[in-house]
Amino acid sequence: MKNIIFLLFCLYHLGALASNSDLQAQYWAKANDAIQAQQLDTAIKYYQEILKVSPNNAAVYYNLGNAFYKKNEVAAAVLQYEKALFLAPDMKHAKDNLMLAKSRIPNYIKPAKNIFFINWWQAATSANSSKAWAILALIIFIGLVGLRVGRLMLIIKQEVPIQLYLILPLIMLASIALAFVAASRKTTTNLAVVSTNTAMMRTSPQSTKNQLSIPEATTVTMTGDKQGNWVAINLPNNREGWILQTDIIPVRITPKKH
Amino acid sequence: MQRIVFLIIFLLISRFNVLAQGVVFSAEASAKTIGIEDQVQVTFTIENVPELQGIQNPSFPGFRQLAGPFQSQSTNYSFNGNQQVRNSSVSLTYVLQATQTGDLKIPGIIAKDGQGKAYQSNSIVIKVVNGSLAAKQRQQQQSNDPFGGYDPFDDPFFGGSGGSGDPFAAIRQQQARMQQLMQQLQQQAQGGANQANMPSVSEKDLGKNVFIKVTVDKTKVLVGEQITATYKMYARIPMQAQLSKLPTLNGFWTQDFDLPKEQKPQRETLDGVEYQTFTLKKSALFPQQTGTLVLDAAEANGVAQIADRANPFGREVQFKIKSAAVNITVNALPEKDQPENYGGAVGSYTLSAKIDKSALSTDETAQLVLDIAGTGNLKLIQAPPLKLPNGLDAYDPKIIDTITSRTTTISGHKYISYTIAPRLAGNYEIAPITFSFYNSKTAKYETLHTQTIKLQVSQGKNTPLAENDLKTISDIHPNIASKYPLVSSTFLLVKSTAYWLVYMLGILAVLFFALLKKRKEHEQNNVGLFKNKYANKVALKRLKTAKAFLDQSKTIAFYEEISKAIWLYLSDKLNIPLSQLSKETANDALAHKQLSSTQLDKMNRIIDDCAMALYAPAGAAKQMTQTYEDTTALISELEETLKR
Repeated sequence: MKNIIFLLFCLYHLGALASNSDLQAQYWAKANDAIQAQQLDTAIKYYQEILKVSPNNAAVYYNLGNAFYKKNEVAAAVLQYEKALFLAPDMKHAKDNLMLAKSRIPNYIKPAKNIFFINWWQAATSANSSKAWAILALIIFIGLVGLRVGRLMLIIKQEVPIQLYLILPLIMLASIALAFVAASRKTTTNLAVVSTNTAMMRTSPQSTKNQLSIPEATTVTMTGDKQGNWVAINLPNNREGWILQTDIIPVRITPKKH
Repeated sequence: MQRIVFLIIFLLISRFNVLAQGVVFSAEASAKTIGIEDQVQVTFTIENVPELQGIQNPSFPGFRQLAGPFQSQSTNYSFNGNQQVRNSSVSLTYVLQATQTGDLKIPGIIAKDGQGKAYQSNSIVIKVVNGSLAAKQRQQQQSNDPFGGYDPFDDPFFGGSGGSGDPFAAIRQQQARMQQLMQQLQQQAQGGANQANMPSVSEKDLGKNVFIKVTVDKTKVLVGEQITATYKMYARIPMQAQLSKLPTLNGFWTQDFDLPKEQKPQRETLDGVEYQTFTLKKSALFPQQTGTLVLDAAEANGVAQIADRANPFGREVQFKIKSAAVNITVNALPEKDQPENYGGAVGSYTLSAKIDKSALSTDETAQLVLDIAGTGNLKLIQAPPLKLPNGLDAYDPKIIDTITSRTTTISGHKYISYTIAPRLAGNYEIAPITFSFYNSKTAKYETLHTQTIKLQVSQGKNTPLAENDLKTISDIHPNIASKYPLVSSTFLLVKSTAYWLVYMLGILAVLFFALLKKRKEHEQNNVGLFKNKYANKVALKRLKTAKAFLDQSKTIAFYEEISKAIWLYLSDKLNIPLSQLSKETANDALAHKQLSSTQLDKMNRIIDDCAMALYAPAGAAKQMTQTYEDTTALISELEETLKR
């Protein structure tokens, strides 16, 4: 039932897009022309207009990020590249440009080197691996069904080892779980970008001791804890602390409201 | 009083490789021989001590301490190649007067540095004679120069140290200079009185006889162009004066010229009247803004002796003098042909750049020192922009000005030192640095370039950014310029209905086949029942075939069919496999089924007939009809009996 509603919702969207897509294509062309003519502010305005209507367009975020980069607004550029990569995690150019933008952050906080299995876990649950896990689970499931039916119908003559019936469903369930975890990365992100050059991180919202200045344009991870105006974050080097909510902009893309 | 005076010295923290010079601790007296009435200044100077902890309070046996200690501190930086050499000194000055005659020895004192190391100064011997030596000398030299001899400017504050590092030193210098100046003026006044050469002036005319005059070399300049301003005191009557206000020079960057150590009053004729003049201040002024700037007045007050008929020694009059303010018109620099990135430099300069290493790793940093040398508003020059290729970072430059102001123009060096931190390995070329200035002599802008600097960077052990891909790209990837791209898909397979429908179908398929299998197994278990049910039908079918063979008189085929019909019927009906079935087993099984003996006989006879006919078919032909009828009858009878 929920899915049917979703489908209708999508169709409604598509209808709305169809009427707007011409206008957006025009804005897109105008913005790209403006970039060519070095009119960065004009281009930025057009890109932002497009995103108001169609907030899930990675390419627009990418171009917008480039425009900010050329204006030397590193924090804004980083935010746009992060958004593009959230929507399209495989976008190589956005990855490179984000790296270049980050290389221009003064006092850049180096990301901590993770232990190998954390890297594996992150790779395994990256947003675009959801489909692969879902397909793997399905293949295992179809295999299991085939085995069972084959045995029932005596197409498979030999006895199937019982271990296979234990291991395969376990792998299948694990794959489905991973598919869901990866899917959650695609629907939401807890990343945020520091947007001011006066951001200070505290060890707790009350404590004013041991404050740490966080460079503008640093990408931080929000842990989800919140106290008043303070949100808990993790720095790229895995340090934890609290930062003013107004000092960061979440990468999360808010869907268009109808 | 053997008290240790602790002086805490805050040393400038520098990022440069600082080469400290050797430590020197010395004591100096302003004169080797003095009169008992004279004052003497003794200065202890310690140079280049790394971290001065304390200096022992000196003792002056045979002397009375009149003033002091005056502390002065200075730090100088100079460059030796790319290494910065720092010269720092701290000095303590005491003003003493002898209380006895003879050779008096001022013993050396001890200073300690941060590490507890002690330094000993030298001792001084001063010869003290009766009377005032200074006065004697003055008298001796009066014939040619009434003010010579005693040199009030032989002052430790004026000694060597440039004092550019310590703003207070400058103030102290100024104060000291003032003191000396006043002494001088006083002496001049006395000298004048002694000579009884007092001009007859009234109080009204005082302003004409004692005044301060400001002279500037030009009154109309461009922003950043040098003006030389001289504050001079003119006097032609005996007087004592004290400077009460030094001019403040708003809107200018000023650099005072060093006045000669042994400044003597000059004779100057102004409008036909001869004056003794004394230079109070000589400064180079660099206007920083356009418009009319005012050179503030300098003020002094004092007492002058003027002639009075009642008193042969004259009469003392209080006075207050003030220099006239001077207006300077400052015009903006011409905008025509103004180079890009012009940083406000006016004068005449040369530019050179030097880097301390041409090859380094990403773990190291290099020092790029830009040297702007020449004359003009050096301090006001903005650092020219440094354009670094991607992969190199520079911190904010450290700027050091070394300015000499001994001549009539301000000249020196401006060292702009950039710390360059390479981020990525590779061969880099730092584009020429451009510096432009306005040459006020030729009234033209001139632009200087440095050489292209090559830098070879190898990969160090630490990589600040682990992304090695950056090496391959020097700038951001270009925009996506194709036609309007499609909205990124938000479809998720794992959350789609179709995906889970496949699982449902799979489970249903397994269930379906499992059910099918179960039913089949069930039926296999009841296969006897099944055969029993259909035994009659099968038998009748075979009898029909047998009838056909009978009609065609095919004896063997007929008996074969009859035999099959009867045996298969019995096998199915009695649930005995064909392999085990024989006449005996059939009889045994039928015996339990309450069959009449006639029926059994009939059955046995048919079986026997069939066997006979199959082994000896010749004689069997006659009985074929009989056998057929018997078999039909038997099967229907058995069907009837076994059903019950």
